[in-house]
Amino acid sequence: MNIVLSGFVDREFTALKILLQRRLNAVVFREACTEPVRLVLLNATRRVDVAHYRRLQALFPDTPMLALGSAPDLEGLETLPQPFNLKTLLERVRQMLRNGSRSVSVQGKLVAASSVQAADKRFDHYDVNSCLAGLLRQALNLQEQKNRDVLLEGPFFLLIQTDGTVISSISRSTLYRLASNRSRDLQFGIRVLEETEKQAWLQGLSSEVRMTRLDREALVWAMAVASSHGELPEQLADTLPLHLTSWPDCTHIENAHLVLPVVAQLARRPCSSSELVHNTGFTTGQVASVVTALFVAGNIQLQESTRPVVWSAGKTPTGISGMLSQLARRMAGKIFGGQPQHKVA
Amino acid sequence: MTGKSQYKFIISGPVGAGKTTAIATLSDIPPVVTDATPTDEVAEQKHQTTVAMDYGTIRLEGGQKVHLYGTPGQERFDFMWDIMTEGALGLLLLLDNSRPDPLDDLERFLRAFSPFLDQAPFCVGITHTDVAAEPPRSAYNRLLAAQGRVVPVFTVDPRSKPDMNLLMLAMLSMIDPSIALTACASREGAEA
Repeated sequence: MNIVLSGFVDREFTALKILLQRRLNAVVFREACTEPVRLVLLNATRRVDVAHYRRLQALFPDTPMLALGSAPDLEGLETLPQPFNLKTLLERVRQMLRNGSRSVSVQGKLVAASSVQAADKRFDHYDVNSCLAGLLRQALNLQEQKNRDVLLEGPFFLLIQTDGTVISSISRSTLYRLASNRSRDLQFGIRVLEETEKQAWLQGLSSEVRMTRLDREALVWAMAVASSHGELPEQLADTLPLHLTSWPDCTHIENAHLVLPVVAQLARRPCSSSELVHNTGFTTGQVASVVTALFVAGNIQLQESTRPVVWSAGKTPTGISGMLSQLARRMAGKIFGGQPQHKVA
Repeated sequence: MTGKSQYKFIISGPVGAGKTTAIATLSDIPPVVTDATPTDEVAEQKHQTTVAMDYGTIRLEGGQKVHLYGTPGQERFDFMWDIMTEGALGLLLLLDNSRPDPLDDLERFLRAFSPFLDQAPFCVGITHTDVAAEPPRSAYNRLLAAQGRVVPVFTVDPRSKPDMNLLMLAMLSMIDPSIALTACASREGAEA
């Protein structure tokens, strides 16, 4: 029986963990879990961040959640008001476990728990769907499902084509500027176009419409970075493991010198954003930008649906690290020695 | 790999994918090539093709050498592939997007190198995307994911030093993720 504890400092977490292990034979996790979860205990003795609560809800959608303390901002959440003693707490947990048997679910299942606690400076979060990058992501998801050209039409249009290019009615620099502005209220329709419909639509455009052809991957990447402002999308809690589902095309994106080390870490095993900060030494802002771009471009996901990577850490050849480092430095010198490349088709 | 600091990487792929060019781009010496005039259907695609192997070298400090071997692309030479991969540290697979069925090429090479790829890192460079934009890179990723492989798949120009070095660097980072960090640190430091 797995129980997730969220929002507790180390001392509280350890005390609760021992209690739940001894009295209920529970397996206790912090924020993330590899198995179906029976109950989430949320520390509400201090102020609860609503965004954090929503992330937990998204991660464990059918799992009962109990807030220890008062949580007036969190509607519908079961609470155990203070003061309470351990006996009361255990009774309430037992009761919720009995009543909540329906919620033994594999939804929200994660492949690995994050091994590093949140960095000293916590990531800030924002709703990626409230900006242009979020719209683009929805359009890309639709394109992935339908394998057809997709039109994003509003104050301007983006025709996202299956051949990897995007036709835009505004310039690249204007797009990036709009992407960085989260408060702008842009209304767009997203629809799939069949080939004949697309041709008719293109022919119907006014001859005055200037069209810019852009590389899709470079565009998505740059727009996601522009919108992140060094913050993570709300969907990506900083302590939850991220799974690399595909590598970005590093020859087509900016800041490959930041992207490559981050992706290399994720390629080895799932890592949380906090771990990435810890392992790379990059700032939270730098990691957040890369992770946001990976998320918007569909290179990572939170929940497990990918198969394990065949080539794994256990097979690293030994005794060659010096040569590899030297070779890698040389490669990097030839890549980044001059100006970083920003190739656009 | 035994011997005095000798290491090798293999570059493979179908005829015309750009293997010889890639070696010329990465190598410190003019590549040793074994080109001959083809007498089969390859003659319709190229005037010269590799019939044994291509060879190039990257020289490192302290006399260490990294050897680059390019396999012949024609299937009738596939008996050489097993021999060439023996002791290799990784494989760089170049695929020509303008061939009739590049995804089939990928599957064929994955099968051919299967035992090696289960124990060594590899990466995929898609070439000639300026000639043929489709299939998109995502199609290669999907095919690889179906086999449980998440590897670097980049669109590259084999003549481009940044492209080829980036692909190689990605492969090295699969051997040890900290390598990419160390290698990119100088760039990061320069920006700070």
